[in-house]
Amino acid sequence: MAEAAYPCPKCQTQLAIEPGTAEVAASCPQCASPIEAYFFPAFFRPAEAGAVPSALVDNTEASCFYHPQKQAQRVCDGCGRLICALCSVEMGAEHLCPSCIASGKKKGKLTTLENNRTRYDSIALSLAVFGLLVYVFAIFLAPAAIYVAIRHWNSPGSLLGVSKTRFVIAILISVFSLLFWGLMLAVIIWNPGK
Amino acid sequence: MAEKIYRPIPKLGTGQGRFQIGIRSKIFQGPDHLLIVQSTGYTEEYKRVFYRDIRWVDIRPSRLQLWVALAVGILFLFFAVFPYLAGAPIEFAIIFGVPFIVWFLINLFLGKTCDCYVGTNVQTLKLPVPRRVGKVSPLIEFLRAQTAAFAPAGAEPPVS
Repeated sequence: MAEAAYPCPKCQTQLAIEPGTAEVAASCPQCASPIEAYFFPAFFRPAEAGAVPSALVDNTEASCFYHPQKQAQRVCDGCGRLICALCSVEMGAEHLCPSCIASGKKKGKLTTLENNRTRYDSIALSLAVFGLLVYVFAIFLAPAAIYVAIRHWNSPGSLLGVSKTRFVIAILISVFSLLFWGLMLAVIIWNPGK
Repeated sequence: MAEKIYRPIPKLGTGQGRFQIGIRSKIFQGPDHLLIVQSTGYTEEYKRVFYRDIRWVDIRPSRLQLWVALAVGILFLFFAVFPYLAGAPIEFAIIFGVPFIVWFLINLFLGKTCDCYVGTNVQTLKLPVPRRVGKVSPLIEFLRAQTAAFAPAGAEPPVS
């Protein structure tokens, strides 16, 4: 393991850290700010060199599906095609080819590549609750909440695994709001007290 | 309902810290990475830090404890001391003052506050937890176990 450099969080001075150091609690020699840092194996590990595919030596060797002149080094875990070191992309425990990654990202199957999601269940619930609070707008907001809930019932929710409860509550509140609106309109139109 | 693959970090929880107005940050442990979720309530943004890529964790002292103590002290003055000096009955001062004293003591006993950053080769990210210096060791213990489990073959763990 080689000596590695750690940047001071305040002044960015590179501080040399001895190999095998687990933690440092000291002051920066440059700016004197306190430093409390814990180091992990990756800190002392040298940077990995990029994958270089090797060329085919003879025609009996298996070649990469995407680069016929390069030697196959792996089988894609997604489609089973032979791929070279350049095409093999490590995704967690799997090695995938570029086309599997592209299609997986498009279909939303590779959650590791997702960096944002919309919470349609929260949007539907907010519309329904706001309609309940400001009742005059419920005639617009309740149908909107029902539409969002039904339209996005099967859309991927939070990565944290939230249930459909908010959709159900939003629909119930909206239906209640619309029924009450309907009742009020009926009373106004027929005016039974007259 | 989808199977939950993200769970709170043991002895640390997920954190409820607000770094910006309207954005709530939480942290979860995944199968091979930490997941930092920044949520506005209607959208969620995910940042992943893979255990094998974690190079360091640095702890920077913050003044949050001091600011909380000052804020609670000012509230105590306004809700308990000033009304009492203005002639309000002592029961009024006790009822409105005790919650602030309890809050002040809890803040004191929880210990010094800090900001925690995790560094990889390409980024340094602020973690929502721990917010107190006393909670740092569960995080370090957890990360030491995970980085050792996910280290590539041949990598030596640091001396602990």
